[in-house]
Amino acid sequence: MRKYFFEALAVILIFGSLGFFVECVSFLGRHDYIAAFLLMVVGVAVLQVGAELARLALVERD
Amino acid sequence: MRQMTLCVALGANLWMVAVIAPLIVGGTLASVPAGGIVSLILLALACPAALAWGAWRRAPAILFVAFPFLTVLPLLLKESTEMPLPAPPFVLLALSLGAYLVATARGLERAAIAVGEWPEVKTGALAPEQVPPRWRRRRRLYFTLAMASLALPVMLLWSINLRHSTGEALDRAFGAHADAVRALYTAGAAMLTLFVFRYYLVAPLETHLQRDRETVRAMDQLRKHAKSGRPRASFYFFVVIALGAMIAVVWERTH
Repeated sequence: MRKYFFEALAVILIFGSLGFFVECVSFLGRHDYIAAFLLMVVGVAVLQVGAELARLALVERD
Repeated sequence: MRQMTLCVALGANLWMVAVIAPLIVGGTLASVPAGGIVSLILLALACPAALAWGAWRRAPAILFVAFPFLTVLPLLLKESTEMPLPAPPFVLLALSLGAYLVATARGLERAAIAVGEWPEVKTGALAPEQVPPRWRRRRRLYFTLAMASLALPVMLLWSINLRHSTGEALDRAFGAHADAVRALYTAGAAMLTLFVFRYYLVAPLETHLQRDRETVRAMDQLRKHAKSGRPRASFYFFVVIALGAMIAVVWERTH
């Protein structure tokens, strides 16, 4: 169960971070540069967590 | 050098699509001043020079950053210099760039193996019995990371250049300079994609290739600590911070 959990969460977080980047572009169009920067930071952080979970899922032996 | 042949071929294709074809179709050379022609020709020739040098030296920074930036530079300068340069079809440009980046990554990998920088890769036919679950999981994750590498630049480019609401917002906000801003955001999206690709999407695969001893060691330590049945000191620290933040929010809402 644990290995599927890591894998599913990694996929959700990696593709979920794309939403933050797309919203970042929306805020750039509205001149809201602070919000856009924060969304980009959140997107990168979510992607980093997803990448770490992918590493854990790759390392799992069974 | 043989390993970089496909990379050079696709790089030349990208140069033709992004630089040469727009210059010829737009008749740019006939309409710019004499001083501008020399600069434009030098800029156009800088692209194959960067590609050739990067392929000869097998330099990732030149092949992944400098050459793609030089190929889109005329499009970025188009607005500020009022140069009559038509933009290439977006889908063709995106496919050319994507194919070039993939070929470059594979070419650099094969070149590194050929000069012995990595351990020799042994290949063999897979056993006819069912693929073990951990290998099926690893293939799924490889596929996920590859799809994310493709989806990120495509979604960002769609959001900046093709999404109707973003186009309207940029036109309202920047007026006549909307195209220049759009080009700047596109360049920023490209840099972000390269950064994310190198440090977040390729990194798990790179560490996995090296057996990821750091993660395995950390997991062993966590398993040993989990057997003790007590949380670590940092757990209590973060619980105190979370409770303090919740009390602060409630107090702020009620006063």
